[in-house]
Amino acid sequence: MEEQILKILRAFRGITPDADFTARSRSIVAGAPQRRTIARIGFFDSMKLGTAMVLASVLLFVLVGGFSYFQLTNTASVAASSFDFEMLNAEARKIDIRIQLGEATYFNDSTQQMAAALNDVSETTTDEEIGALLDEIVL
Amino acid sequence: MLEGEDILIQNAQDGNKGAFGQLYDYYIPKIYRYILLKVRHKYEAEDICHDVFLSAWQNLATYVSKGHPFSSWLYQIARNKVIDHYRTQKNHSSIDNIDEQFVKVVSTIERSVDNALHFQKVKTAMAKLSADQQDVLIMRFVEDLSHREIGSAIGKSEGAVRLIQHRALHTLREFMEKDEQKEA
Repeated sequence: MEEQILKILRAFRGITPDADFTARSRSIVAGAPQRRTIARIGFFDSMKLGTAMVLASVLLFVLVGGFSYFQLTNTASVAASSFDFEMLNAEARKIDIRIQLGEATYFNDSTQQMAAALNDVSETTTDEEIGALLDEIVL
Repeated sequence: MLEGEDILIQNAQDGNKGAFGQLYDYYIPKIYRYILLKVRHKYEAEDICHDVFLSAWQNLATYVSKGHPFSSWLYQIARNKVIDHYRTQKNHSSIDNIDEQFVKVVSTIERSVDNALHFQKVKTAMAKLSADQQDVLIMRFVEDLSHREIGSAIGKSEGAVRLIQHRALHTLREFMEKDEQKEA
């Protein structure tokens, strides 16, 4: 039985597809587009791709760099036109005066506070205690 | 294996339709036979066979040799297409129904119609085997592939293929002996 089975299986080798089907199928397959992956692009194509990418990067760098330089030079010229040294000196002097006035106000306020504090202390403490407190402040 | 196959494959992967045409002409009888012995009708075999080569052409870029023959890759595609076919098939006709088209096909290789019916009985009995068993019997005894090539196609080791072959023949013999007893 097994030999008969094997004989029939081997006889199946004679089966072939219809010629009409084969021709029709072949032409349809040949007309279909082929999906290509990056791996199949090829060496020279990859060189072109690499060169194109490098050039694009350089162009982008030049454009961005040029734009930035243009912006910088414009800003610098605008800034330079506003540099009036006499005005700056006047501004600086004003600041000094303001600082001095501010300090004077602070000193005046703090002096008044100290005087008030001293009055309070003198009412409640003896001369010896006052002297000790003053020594601490000085030291 | 086709002579100069590696160069043909490389050219076909670069888009050379003529190169793929040569591969098509060489492998279509093998793939067609394999599918015809696994499906019920001749027109199904033609449809699936066409899909196999269309898919192979469109996805040829994904094929990488690495010791796996091109035929194994085609058989893998064919195997998957047959599985998909049965998965999507709505009309489940009986496997015992004689396919007249198949009988006509085998009649061209066997003059006697009686012998053609024997062929149909073997085909019907094979349909009762598992997918792996069918594949091993077809690839080994119909297409004369080595155990290594078969293993590469179905994803099994050579040893596993030999074991499957032994069990497949044993089971097929049992089915056919039972059928003969029923007829007697």
